[in-house]
This record gives sequence, C-alpha cells and structure tokens, in this order.
Amino acid sequence: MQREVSLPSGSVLDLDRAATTPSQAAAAGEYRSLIRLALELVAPEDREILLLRQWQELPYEEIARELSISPKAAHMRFVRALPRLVETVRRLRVGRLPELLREPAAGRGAEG
Amino acid sequence: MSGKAPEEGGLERLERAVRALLENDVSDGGAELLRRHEDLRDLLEPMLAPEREGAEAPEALPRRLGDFELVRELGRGGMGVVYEARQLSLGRRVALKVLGAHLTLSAASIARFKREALTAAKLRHPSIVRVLVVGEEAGHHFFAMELVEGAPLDRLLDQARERPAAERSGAVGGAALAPMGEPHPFFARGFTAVAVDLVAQVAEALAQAHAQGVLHRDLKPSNILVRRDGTAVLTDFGLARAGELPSLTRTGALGGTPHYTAPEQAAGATVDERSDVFSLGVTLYELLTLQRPFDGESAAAILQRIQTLDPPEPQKLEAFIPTDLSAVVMKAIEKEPERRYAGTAAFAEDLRAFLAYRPVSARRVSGLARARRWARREPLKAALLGGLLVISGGLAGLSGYLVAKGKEIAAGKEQLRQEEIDRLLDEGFAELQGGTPEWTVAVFEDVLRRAPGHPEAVAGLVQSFTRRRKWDDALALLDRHAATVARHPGFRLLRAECLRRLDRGAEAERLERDMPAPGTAIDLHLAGLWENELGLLRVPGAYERALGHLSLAIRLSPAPQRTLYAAWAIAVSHAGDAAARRECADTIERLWPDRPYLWAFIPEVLHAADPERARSWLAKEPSLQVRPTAILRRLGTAYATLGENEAALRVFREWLGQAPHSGDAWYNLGVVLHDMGRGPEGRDAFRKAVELSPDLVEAHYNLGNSLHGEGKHAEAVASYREALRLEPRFADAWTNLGLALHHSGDHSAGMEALRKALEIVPAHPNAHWNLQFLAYRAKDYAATKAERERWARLHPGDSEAQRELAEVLVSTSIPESLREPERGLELALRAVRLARGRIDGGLRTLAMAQSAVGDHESAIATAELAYRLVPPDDPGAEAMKAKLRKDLEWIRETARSKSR
Repeated sequence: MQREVSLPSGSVLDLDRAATTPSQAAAAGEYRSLIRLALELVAPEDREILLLRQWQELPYEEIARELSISPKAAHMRFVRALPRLVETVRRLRVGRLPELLREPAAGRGAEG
Repeated sequence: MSGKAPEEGGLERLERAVRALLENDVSDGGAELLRRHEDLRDLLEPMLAPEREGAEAPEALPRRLGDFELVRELGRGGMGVVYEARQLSLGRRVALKVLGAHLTLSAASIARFKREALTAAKLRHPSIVRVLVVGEEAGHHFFAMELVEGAPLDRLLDQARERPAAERSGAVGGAALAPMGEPHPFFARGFTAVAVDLVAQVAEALAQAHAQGVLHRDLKPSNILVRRDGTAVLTDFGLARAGELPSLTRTGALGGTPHYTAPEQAAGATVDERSDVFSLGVTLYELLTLQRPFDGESAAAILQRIQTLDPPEPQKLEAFIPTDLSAVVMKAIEKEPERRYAGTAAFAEDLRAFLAYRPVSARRVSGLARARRWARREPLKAALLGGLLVISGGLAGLSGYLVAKGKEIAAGKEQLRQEEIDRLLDEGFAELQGGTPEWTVAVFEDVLRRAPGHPEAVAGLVQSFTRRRKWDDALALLDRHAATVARHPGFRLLRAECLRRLDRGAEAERLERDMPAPGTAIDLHLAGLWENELGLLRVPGAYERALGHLSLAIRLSPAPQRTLYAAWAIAVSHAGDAAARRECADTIERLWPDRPYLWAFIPEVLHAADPERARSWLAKEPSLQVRPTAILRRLGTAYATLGENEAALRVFREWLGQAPHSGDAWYNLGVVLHDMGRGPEGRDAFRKAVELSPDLVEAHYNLGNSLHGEGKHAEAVASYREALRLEPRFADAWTNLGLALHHSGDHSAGMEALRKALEIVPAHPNAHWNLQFLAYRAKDYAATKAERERWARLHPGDSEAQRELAEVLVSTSIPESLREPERGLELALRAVRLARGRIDGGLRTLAMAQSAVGDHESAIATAELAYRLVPPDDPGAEAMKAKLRKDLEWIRETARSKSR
C-alpha cells in the first residue's frame, strides 16, 4: 500500500516538464515562474503539501497515508498553506525577493 | 492520479487561482471572484480566508478586551498585533495594539510594551499617533491609539515600485491601482514634492519628541502612516527610550528592520537624535529613488553596508532629483553623526527650504573628501573584519544591485530582471574564479529560478561541480537541464568531458563525433567558458581554443555581456598575445571602468604587455571598498605576476582573513611565499591548502615541488601522484613525478612518467628535456636519440630542435651504431640557417658535424667564425669561448690523427 512518491528533494524547478498549450503558457508565463519561485520559498511543510496536492494531484486520503496524518489534517494543512503561497507570490510581484530570501521560509513566521 | 481535468494540470489551476486572486478586487471578500471562477472555489476559498477574517487572528484572543471590541487585524509588528477596534463606552473606532502572546510571559517585554505606550502618551503632535488608553485584560496587555485612516508608507512604496516611472515623476498620476481601486492621493501630486513634504512633517514631529527627551530609534516607512489628505503620522515608538530608562533596550538585540538603522546604532555605540536623522534620511532616499541605500541578503550584511558603504547619490539614480535635494539626503545619511544635521529640526528646515526654492545648507561632498572619510572609517571596518566580513564574499555585488535598481526606474522591470540576472552571473562566475565554487551553487540556482534554463547559469552550475571534480553530480545536472543542454550544442563539450572522466570514453567520443561546431554567440560563449575550464584542468590548447571561441562570440554578440567579457579576459590572460591583451584591457576599461569584477582582470591581462598600465590599475586596489574574495584573488595574482610579492602577500592574507578555510587562498599564499624564497613557509601553506581542499590539484602539485626542492623525493612522489589521481592529464605533474621518481632511485618508472607527460603534451619542453637527458645520463643513448628525433620532427622550423638532433647524430660519445654524421651535417646546416644570424650553439654543432664527416678545414673555419662571433657583452661569453677553444683543439687533433 506504500506508494512511491517522487518529490523532488531540493528543488521544484524541473516542473517545466509539465505540458502546457502555447496560449496558456503565454498568458500564465509570469505567474508560472512566480509560483515556482514561491514554492521554493515557502516552508518545506507547505511545499510538500502543495506539491502532493497540486503537482502529484493525489487525493487527500492518499496524501494522508503518505504523511501519516489524517485526511482531515492533510486538508487543513493544504488550506493553511495556500494563503501563505499567495502572500509569497504577492510579495514577489512587488520585488521583495531579497526580503523573502532573508526569512527562513515564507509563512513559518505567521504560525510562530 | 484522480480528479484531474485532461487539459489542465493541478499546477496550472493553482496558477490560474493565484492570478485571479491577485489581479482582481477582492474588497467584497472575494464574492464576485468566486462567482466568476466557480471551478477554482476549492483553491480560492482558502486563499481568501485571510482577507475575510483578518489574517489568522490568534485563536486564544477573545473578540473583546475590556472596553474594546476587536473588528479586524490591521498589521503586525515586532511587539504585537494592531487591530481595528471599537471602544464601547465612547462608541469610537480606535487602533488597539495588543502585546503578542509569545511575549506576554516575559516581564521585560511587558515593561517595554508599557514603556512604548507611556512614551507615546507623553507626546502631543498632529504627526504623532495619539495614545488614548493603556490597559490589561485577562492577561492581554494592550493600548488604544487613535485610528489613522491611511496607509503605511512601506505599502505605498511597494505600489510606487509597481508604477511606471513616467507616472511617478510627472505631476499627476491618475491610473487606478489594481487591486486597490482608487489610487491613494499620495500619487496624485508631484512625487518628489510629496515625498519631501512627508519627511519634513515627520522630521518636525520628531523634533518635538526629541525636545521632550524621546528618541524613536526605529524609524522606517512601515512606522509612518499617510492619511488620505497627505499628512503623515508617526507610530510605533516600540524601541523608543525615554531618558530615564536607558538600560532596558540598550541590552536588547536590534529589534527593527536593519535597513534604516544608523551606523552608530549598528555598532552598539551611543544613540542620539542624529540617529533618527539618519533613519529618516534613509527613508527619504528610498522614497525618492525607490531603492534602499543599504541593502543585503542578511541583517548582518545590511548592517555592515550601513557602516562601510557610501551609497550613490540619489541624483545618480534618478536624474530628476535636484542637486540640492540630493545633497540634503546625503547629509542626513552621513556615517558620522557630527556630519549630519544636528537634529531633525535642522533637517526639516532644509527640506522646507528646498520646497520653498530657497538655498539649502547641505553641500555635496567631493570625491576626495569621501576618500578621506573612508580612510578614517577604516578602524571601524577593521574591528568588524573578524565578525562580519566572512559573509561579504557572497554579497559582493551590492553596488551592482543598486545600479540595477536604478535602472528599474529608467527602463522597467524586464531590464531590472535582466540586470539582476547579469549581476548574479557576474558574482557567480567571479566567485567560481575566486576559489569558492561551493558558494556559487546558490547564486546560479537563483538565476535559474529567475530565468529557468538560462544557459550560462546552467554552465556555471555545472562548473561549480566540475571545479571540485564531482563528475557524477555535473553529469546529473546536465541531465536535469536536458532541454537547455539540447538547445545549445556547446554543452556537449562539457558532457563529453564528464563522460570521459567517468570512464565512459566511448560515449564521449560518440558525442563528440557528431558535434556541430559552435556557430551562435551563445554557443561560442559556452564553448569558450568550457575551454577555459579545461585550461584550468591543464588540458593543452584549451585556453587558445577558448580565446578563439570567445573572440568570435564577442563579435557576434548583440550587446556587451559582462560574463562573456570576463571569460574572454581569462582566456586572454593565459593565451593572448600583446595585441589581444591591449584590446581586452581597452575594452573593459571603456565599458566597465567602475565595475571591480571586470577591471580586476586588467592588471593580470596587461602584466606582460604593458606593466606600467597594469600597475596604474593596481593603484586603485587600496581604495577599493567592496573587497570580495574573487577580486582579491585577481588583484593578488596580478601583483604576483608583476613581481610585487609584498603587495600580493598582503592581498592574499586579506583573502584568507575573509575565508580562512579556503584551500585556494592558502595555495595562492604558498605560491607567493615560494616565489619570495620563503620555501618552508610556502610548503606549509600548500600543506594547509591540500588539507582544506583535498581536491585542489595545483596545491598537491606545488606541495610536491616544494618537497622535491627540499630533497624529500619520496614525499614529493606521493604528492604528485595525488595530483595525478585527481587530474590524470596534468602533464606538468607527470614530468615532475618522472624527475622525483628518478631521484628516488626508480629510473624506469621515472622514464615512464615522462613519456606519459609527452603523450599528453607532445611538445612539453621540460618533459622532453628531462626524458632525453635522464636517458643520456643512464647511458640509454638510443632513447636519447629517439626523443631528439621526435622533437626535431615536431619542431621542423625550430633551429634548436634540429641542432639538438644533429648533435646526437655526430657525437663521438654515443655508440658508433647510432651515429649518422651525414644526416647530422645536413641538420646542423639547417639549424644554422633557421637561426637567422642568431649565434647560439648552431655554429658549434656545425663545426662538430663538419669534423665528423671529415671536412676538417670547414670545421676549423666554422669554429673560428663562431669564436669571433661570440658577443663580447654576453655574460656567458668567456665560458663559450673556452669551450670553442677546446673544440678547435679537438678538431685540429682529429684532423691531424685522420690525416696521418
């Protein structure tokens, strides 16, 4: 029942293998790279859940098994990670990367 | 996989949701947004949660605190959370600052919190937020302030950064600001005048606070609120110190954002109102240029900049800033408090004078005065060296960063992005040269985050690993960036090299067989970069090929690209002729005279072609303020090549001060010590180098040379072998290994090693010389002859190569069977012709050859001619004459014995 999940260990930069149609790519170009960068910058726990859900596209039950938590907790974790990702993207858009890089990981502070 | 629409992946949905959220007005709590994007509801709802509820209100906090009912969160600071609240008894809206739960337990933080409230409560000024009530309820400490309808200045700055320059510098900016709706009136007037007026208001408010003995100590844009009528309100006296309570915050670590901290505050020295002048000056600087004068990637780095960096004048970054105003800002952010305005009142006065078109008191400081001040600040910097400078290597591009920021205003974001990427690439490649490839990985990865697949960044990243001989990792990286690699055939060189190193030579050959010659600028650039790398790995001819590729790349390249020119400079400094060296230096001097990363190449490039000019560039070294290790390495090497060993030693020691664990630094130090005749010290430095960087081939090699020089041949052999284990194609190491083996008694292994060197570099002069010489000494004349034959064939136009072979063919000291007098004569004649009048050994060998074939008369005539032609001022003249006298005697003797 254990399923191999190949999460990229350090980086999510290689996601560009995911196929897109040209028109999508053009429109979403800016956000694509911002989100990718934001995924690098958020706390590892956030990155993990966001990738499992949105990249691996696993149902919560499976994520729950993977992370040895309850499906409800998995959902909760995802729901909490989303606004932090958005906040990171928002700050990236206004050129606050240096600030983000100084922080240990985006979003962690808000929980503290 | 489940729940996935066939045409759209989860990440694409995420992108769509983020985009929808950030590009639309959600002031209605996102209701409209959700209606329009029903399919994204599962993502948008959680994303909207903070907008609806007030960001993550601590669960433990009740909705009501005493007389106050919390409405929503307004913001967070170091000390606590600020809420909008309703004061029930008076029915008025207030801002309620509640001490953060994590701080509640500490008596000190409670004391500090209360002090802030009391300090602020003492102050009465329209531009200082009024404190209404201080209280405690169910363990929560709070105070109520007037609610300011406005926006914090940092948020306005963010918005300003998003607006095109034209709107900012113009008198009226009307465009709506998504997602804020109507633009803040902040943008509706002339930007410069508004900014100055705002800061003047704050300065005046502070003047009053100072008069009452209260310093703010944490001035920054987020503490300045701007009302919709354009008036400023100062908040958050969180670090403020009332005169009677000095000890509490003195001991505490710096609480606020470091960007606005005064140098004396950063240094832990006494703080007074001039410290607030500094912080406010930095704020004005940022308002005018939209960039911070002191920035960095960590708090420590920023604080260091604050204490050491002279930022560019605002006018340099934004041409529309008047000279007077620029001078006012610079005066406010002087490093030494006594050079600043005496207080915020004087600062405000000058700002008001500027607004009223009156002359200001501040004057621009000349470059010379700046230099003098820099010299005076030196002790402070020295004091910090131990603690902070270690990080400076990684942050060295700061001045470049500021310039890049300046360009944002001029040319928009794409330009900025490009400039930032270029800066990072500069830094990465310089650092790669600077001997800390470990540090460069992060830099190149940063570039790849900004520009996925950026070919130079991929090349740099791969080199970070090949430099440390991690061929597996390098190959894995090339695979990871397969798309980029496929687009640029230049990468195949790299790939082939990795394969070869991993004993996959057949694959490497296959790859190289159908490799197209590099044709585009970027391919040539990549090929050049890689050949440079091979040059460092001692692959013969690599720098020459690099020079060819890079010169062509420069001609084909549409715009001057710094990394390309830097790579060119490296190739030129190894393989360029005098003309190429001058051209390279001229170009860099013309394009980037102010960029140390680039001009640091000039002295090294010029050292042989124009030592005077090389020295004149080196004269800039002592005044260089930002001194990353990459630059120190370049300049130290240049000093060393110019024979200025003392200076080289100083610079390399400074490098070591910054990076005591850099094997490269120890290695370079060792080379200089060795050149200064301080052999044992040099040897110890090399030992240290290999200890710290066991993969540093050069250090092993030079350690071997030192030991060899001390007669420790067996130890030398071990060092050379280690170098060769790491770098099997290191011909110099094979050569010296051959000698060391010979000296330690293993002649045949020594010969084997020398042959190996010649296999790799057929024209290796030392290997050639030693091989034939050691063979001769061991009476292996056949080997001597064979090697000289090979050498003469390899250098058909070289007089000395022909002469050498002629010598062995006619020599009476080798066995008869090996002698070929006729051919020897022919070769000797050729050698003399090729010498074109230079009088080297050619005539002497010719005489011997003539004698060997029995033409004694000619032999005597030749020897006599050679005798007469010996230049009288030559230091070896007497010795040569003595030899020729003996030759003549011998020829005459032979002639006599033959004629008998």
